Amino acid sequence: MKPVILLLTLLFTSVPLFISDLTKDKLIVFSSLSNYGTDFDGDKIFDLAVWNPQTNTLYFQLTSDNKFYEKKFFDTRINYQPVFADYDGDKKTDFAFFHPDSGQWIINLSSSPGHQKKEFLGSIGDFPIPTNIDGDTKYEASVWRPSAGAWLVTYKDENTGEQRKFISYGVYQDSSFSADYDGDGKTDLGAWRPDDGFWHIVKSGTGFDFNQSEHIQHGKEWDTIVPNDYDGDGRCDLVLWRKSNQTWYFKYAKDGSQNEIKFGGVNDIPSSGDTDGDGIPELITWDPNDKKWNILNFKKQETLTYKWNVPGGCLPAISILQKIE
Amino acid sequence: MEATQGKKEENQIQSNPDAPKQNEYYFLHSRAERFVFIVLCLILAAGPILFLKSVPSHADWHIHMERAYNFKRCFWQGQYYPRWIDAQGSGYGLAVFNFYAPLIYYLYVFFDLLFRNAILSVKWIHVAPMILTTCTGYLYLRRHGSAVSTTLALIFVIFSPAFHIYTYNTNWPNSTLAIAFVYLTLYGLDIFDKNKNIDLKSLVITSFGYAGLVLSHIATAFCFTLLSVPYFFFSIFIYKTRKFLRNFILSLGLGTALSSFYLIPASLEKKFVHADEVIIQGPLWDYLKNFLYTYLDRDRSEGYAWAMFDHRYYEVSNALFGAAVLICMFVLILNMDKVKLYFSESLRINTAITMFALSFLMMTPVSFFIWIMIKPLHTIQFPWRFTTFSLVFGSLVMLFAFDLIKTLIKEKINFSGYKFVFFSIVFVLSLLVYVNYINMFHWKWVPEESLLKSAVNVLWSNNEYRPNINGDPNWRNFAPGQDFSPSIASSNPDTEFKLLEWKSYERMFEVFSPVDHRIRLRTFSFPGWNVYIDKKPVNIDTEQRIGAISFQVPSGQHEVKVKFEHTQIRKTATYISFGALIVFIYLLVKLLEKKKNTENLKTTNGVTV
Repeated sequence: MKPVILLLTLLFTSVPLFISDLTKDKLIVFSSLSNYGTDFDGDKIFDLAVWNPQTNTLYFQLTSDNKFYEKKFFDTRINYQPVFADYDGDKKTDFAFFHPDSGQWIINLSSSPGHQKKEFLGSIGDFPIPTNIDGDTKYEASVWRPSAGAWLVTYKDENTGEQRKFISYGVYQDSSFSADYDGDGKTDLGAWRPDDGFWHIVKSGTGFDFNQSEHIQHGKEWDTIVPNDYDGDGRCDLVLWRKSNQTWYFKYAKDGSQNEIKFGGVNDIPSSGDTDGDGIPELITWDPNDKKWNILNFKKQETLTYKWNVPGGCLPAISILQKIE
Repeated sequence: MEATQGKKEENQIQSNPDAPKQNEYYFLHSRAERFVFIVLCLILAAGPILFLKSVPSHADWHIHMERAYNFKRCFWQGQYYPRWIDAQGSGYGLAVFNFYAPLIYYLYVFFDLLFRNAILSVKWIHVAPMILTTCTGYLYLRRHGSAVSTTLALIFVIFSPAFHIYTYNTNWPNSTLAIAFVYLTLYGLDIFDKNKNIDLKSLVITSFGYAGLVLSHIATAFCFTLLSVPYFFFSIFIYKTRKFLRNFILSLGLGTALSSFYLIPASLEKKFVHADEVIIQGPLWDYLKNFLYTYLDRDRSEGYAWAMFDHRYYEVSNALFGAAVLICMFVLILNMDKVKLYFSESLRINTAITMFALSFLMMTPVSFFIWIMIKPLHTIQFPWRFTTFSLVFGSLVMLFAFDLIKTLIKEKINFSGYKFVFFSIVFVLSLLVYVNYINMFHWKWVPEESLLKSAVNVLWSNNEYRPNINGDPNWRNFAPGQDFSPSIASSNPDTEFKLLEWKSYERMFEVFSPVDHRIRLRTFSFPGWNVYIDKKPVNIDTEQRIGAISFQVPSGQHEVKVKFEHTQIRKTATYISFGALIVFIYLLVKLLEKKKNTENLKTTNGVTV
């Protein structure tokens, strides 16, 4: 009898190990904010990169030398997620990571190799979103707290140094982002509400005054937001990807004109980035099943596909992918 | 009123109205027909939540979604009974499931493993209890009546206020699950065989049902325990033996012991949270403002609950169900001589009528003085929780009435009055279906994505489970959502942290500081949290204003482990449950063995004969 009990106990306690993948829900992506870029070598061309959250490993290809890199950043049991952006203003994307359960940020500044900037900002349930509300060349660590509908943004004050600003904006179901919507070089805060498809944008130029914010209807429930400056006018355009028909829906910031392009597969994760250096980001999707990048250069009307030999479970290393699984 | 050993249905009507005559067809005459009819009605009742998008946005639609999602997340992190939910309180964490019944959330974990879809799984934790209640309801009613009457009474269960309020209006699947266990517990009590010294079957089923009831919904279990007192006295009049008293105490005692791993800490550790304060004092949850049939006396400004919960709907729905039961009650009361003639245990009819009346009146201001006298009742917030019991006993009243009418049909009486009764009941059922079913389509339904995000992003703050450790009377002034303090902070800003492990119930990190320092965690201090520095326990100080954990760390490099563990109360309660489980399994095995022996004996006798 005893060995049976022992065996059953072992089996029961090890069940989570066997079915760790099954305990996750099917992946749903709410927002894919690739507008912060992944240009690790500073050549102004988007470097493709995927992140394996299970092993904290980044797989990326630098466009400057066309070499493929694999880099394990953390040797712990806890899983970090990338929050890549240029935090030191040297035009190179820094390898920055966020631990969602503790709110720890670890930023490897490319301008000072070997040095890590560590801080705790935000906690479980908060989303890390890089912002640049003071309009300098550097991004700062900021967080969006959906449960409270609040942001805590970091900015530099000439006299007092690094400061934090609490902004009450948005509600729990929003897909939030930060981007320069009005083209003044400073980050504005935005939220897309799936209930009614409205984009709500509160601008840095107005001191984040909600009464002077913009409200634009575009998109519907279950769309994935992929905002970026798709026409190169310095203003972030409001763009969505609809999984059900694999179509990108554009609403340009300059004149409100609309466009739509069908591109990508039903299981793909959308992204965007300037892969040819012309200043206009391409439409990019990552197929997690076939481990394949699909890139549509709609200026040149050409489609490229790259298959990568990476482990299963890798996700596009973009900052930030709001998702559930 | 002698019970007959070996008789299948104890309170079966004497002249079996179900005995079909050769080649005679009547509605619901076959088992298959009854099964299909019940399943069709169930599909109709459960269909909207199962097949339509999302859930109606009434009352507490977000609570169970959020709790279920986080329960599952913490469960798969290795907290197999996830008492502590770290995502609550904006990262300060709350011991939600130290107090809130967990069974329905285990069901969610199971469904989510199956579907891997949070929305579908949450829909199923609404639907599964409906199915389970239909099954146990059938079991219980069938025990007391014919198959056809059971089926007809069950239709009223399926379209009852309790089912529909809990599923579509308050979104409380745990209350629906509790109904299933109320039926099962009563079934266990009612199958007691007084000829046996200890009726194992009754004991096992009653204790299992009662444990399930406690683990499903503690408020319903509490109401049941109160109602079990008059039910016990009625039953003792039926059985007229001390054996029933023993069986009653043993079975409810074993059920309590089985569920004590949850029940004891939930009761004894309640002083560590603000639950009573929030529940009793909050305008939303004040029981005095939630009696049925007081709507006209009240203004929305008097209590938020009046605006949020649609009491007119509750009142109409309960009134219609009550009217259907009332018609049946009249049939029974006006024919008491026939009841005594036809029913082997006519006291069961009196029991059902009294228990229904009691349950129904407990929802109305008539019972005001009972509510005032029994203080713990105040914490169950809503008098309409008794709709669970008016359903159970109301369905029993209907069953008896249907069986009586079927018998009376066979007598040479003027049947026109009963035809009127029949059409009245059908009319009331139609109104009930309209109010409970059609009505819901007029409500706003939550968009699916919002439903999901309400879970992931922890919409509900569960303030009633905020720890009450430092005794701060102004605890509400601190809003965790507006507080962006770090998850770990040291009094020495140059301290280095390296995270090693970070789970809902356990955090491990390496820390280095050249000087002695104090670490503050963004975690509410609550009994069970312990801190170990280099594997040695250290004292936890509870921060005065907020109530967060802080502790002193000596200079140098150390490994710090902070873990949520069992308190002495939780440990003892778990041992009690474990011991009770062993006893329960032993009794179950004995019961099965006995059943097997009886079957073998029957087979042998059959061969001999």
